[in-house]
Order: sequence, then structure tokens, then C-alpha cells
Amino acid sequence: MGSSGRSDSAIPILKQRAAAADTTQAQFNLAQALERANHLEESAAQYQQVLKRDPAQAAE
Amino acid sequence: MADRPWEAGLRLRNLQSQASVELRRGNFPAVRETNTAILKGKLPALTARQARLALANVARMLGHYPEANRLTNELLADPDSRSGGFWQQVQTARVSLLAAEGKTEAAVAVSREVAEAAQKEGRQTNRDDVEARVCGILAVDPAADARAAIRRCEAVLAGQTDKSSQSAAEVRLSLAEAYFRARQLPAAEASHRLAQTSFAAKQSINNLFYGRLLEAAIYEATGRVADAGVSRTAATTVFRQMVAAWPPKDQRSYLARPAAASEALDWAKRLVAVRSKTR
Repeated sequence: MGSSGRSDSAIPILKQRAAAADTTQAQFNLAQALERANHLEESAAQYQQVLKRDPAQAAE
Repeated sequence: MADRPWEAGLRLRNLQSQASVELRRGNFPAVRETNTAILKGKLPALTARQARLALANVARMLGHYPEANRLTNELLADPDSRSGGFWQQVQTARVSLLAAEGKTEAAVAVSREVAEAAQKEGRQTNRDDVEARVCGILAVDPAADARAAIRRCEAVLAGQTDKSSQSAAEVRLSLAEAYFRARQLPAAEASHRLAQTSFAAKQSINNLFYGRLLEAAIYEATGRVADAGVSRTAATTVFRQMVAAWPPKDQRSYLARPAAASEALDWAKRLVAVRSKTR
């Protein structure tokens, strides 16, 4: 619903990168792509995952 | 590959993006939590003010008016808030809060000043946003004449620069409410449908919820009882989806907001509230 094809097409690539690189930046990029494609549930979950990697957040 | 050390900038951008997604999902308590987390960091001043403004808006949407007033007044008293675009956002928040508290005349008066200032400074988006607020205020105010609200909202819609924007969709929803109050039901249905299509595309769940309630009221008024039932069920589903992760206190205050008590929607709102308590 309401997804942009351009944003959608980047998602599989960014998912692969996030899985392969396993870095905070890669996960953040994926979360943003999901947001632009209107995949809000998945995007919110990815942003949460990024925060979980943050030691400061985990300590709160 | 090993993770790089956590960067404060990335954490901040993540929190801001997360807040924006949660706002679209209608998860207002999560927006509050996220902006509170943003304020805990060492931040550029503008970011801290933006987080306070987001908190003020979310507190209003949840019906926590003393908290919304405190945050808005802090921003209004802060000389550093007075840069053009940000100052207008603060004033727009003030307009929305005055309207939510039922201070319609004050809200309209302030909004006129803000819209004029935005126009003078060439800030069309700010002007469109505040005009949309005025339309929303008049459309649901039982004391405001429905036909006058229609004329105002039609003029506001005609003047919007981007007819596909969120603010244009909000004007269409307000117009639908005003048409409904004036018993111009075909016009109400048409305007509602355009608004709902836009909210669905943007996944603006809070507006989708109200749109479904209004839809049920329109169908009932036109004798389409079965369709009204479908819309009420859809409203209940959207409501439950929206509040799934909300604390019960926030659910109650959201439904108790005076601003949500428009004549057209009140009965449906109560119905959804009752159902949500019994799930």
C-alpha cells in the first residue's frame, strides 16, 4: 500500500548488506529504506534493533 | 565484520527517524518515549527544541493538556525559538492546543496572525499547515456554523500549494465533517473518500481511524446500515492496531479529549471505547 517501487527495489540489497556487514550503519540504512517504502512495522523494528546495539541505550 | 564504535550522531538520527515512523503509525506514547530519549543526549540547541516541540504535540494528541501547555509555554518563552520557521511551528502547536482545549476563538485569532506572518515571509508550507488547523477547528466546533466552516475549508483547500500533502488530506477530512454537519451527504462522502485514500497511502493511522468513524456516520445517515457496520468494524480494527502498545492511561486520555468529541463522531468514539475496554 502506497509503496514506491524505487524504494522497494533497494530493500533486498540493503537487507543483504545489513546481514553481511552486520553494522549499525547498515541496519540504519535498511530502516530508512523501509520507512521510505512505507513498510512502517518493519522499519520501526529495524530502528529498535539499531538502538539495541547502542550500549548507552542498553544501560538505560 | 566487527561493528564500528557507536556514534552519537547516528544514534540521534536513528532516534529522530524512529520518532517520525512511530508518529505515522500513531504510536504516540512511543514518540514521547523516543523524544524523551533524544533530550537525554548532548544535543545541538535546535534539536533539543524540536524534541520539546514534538513532545508538546504528542502530549496534546494524547489529551495530556497540562504537560502540553507547560512544554509549549517553555518554547514560547525561549528567545531562541524565535527563528522564522521554527517559531511558526511553535505557534501552530499553540493553535492546535488552544483548539483542543475548546478555546476556539483564541485558536482562530492566533492562527490568523501566524498565517499572515508565514505569508509575508514566503513560508507557504507553514501557512498551509496553520490554515488546515483552522479548518479542522471550525469543522468540528458545534458552535461554528457548518456552512461557514465549509466555505472556509473550501477556500483553504483551493489555496493549498500541494494538493497531495498531508495537510491537504486533513483539510479534505475536515471538509467532509463540515459537509456531514450541514447534511450535504454526497459531498461529505466524496471528500472523505479522497482524504482516506491519501491517509491510506501515507499510512496515517490516527487520521484513518477518524476517517473510518466519519465514514460509518455518513453511511448510517444515508441508510446504508450494513456498510456502516463494516466501517465501524474497520474503525475498531484500526483503533486496536493503533493503541496496541499504548499504556491504558494513554488510551483513556486519548479517547477523552474534548477535541475528539465532534458531533458527528461522538457516538462512534464511545462505541469503539467500550469495545476496546472489553477486548
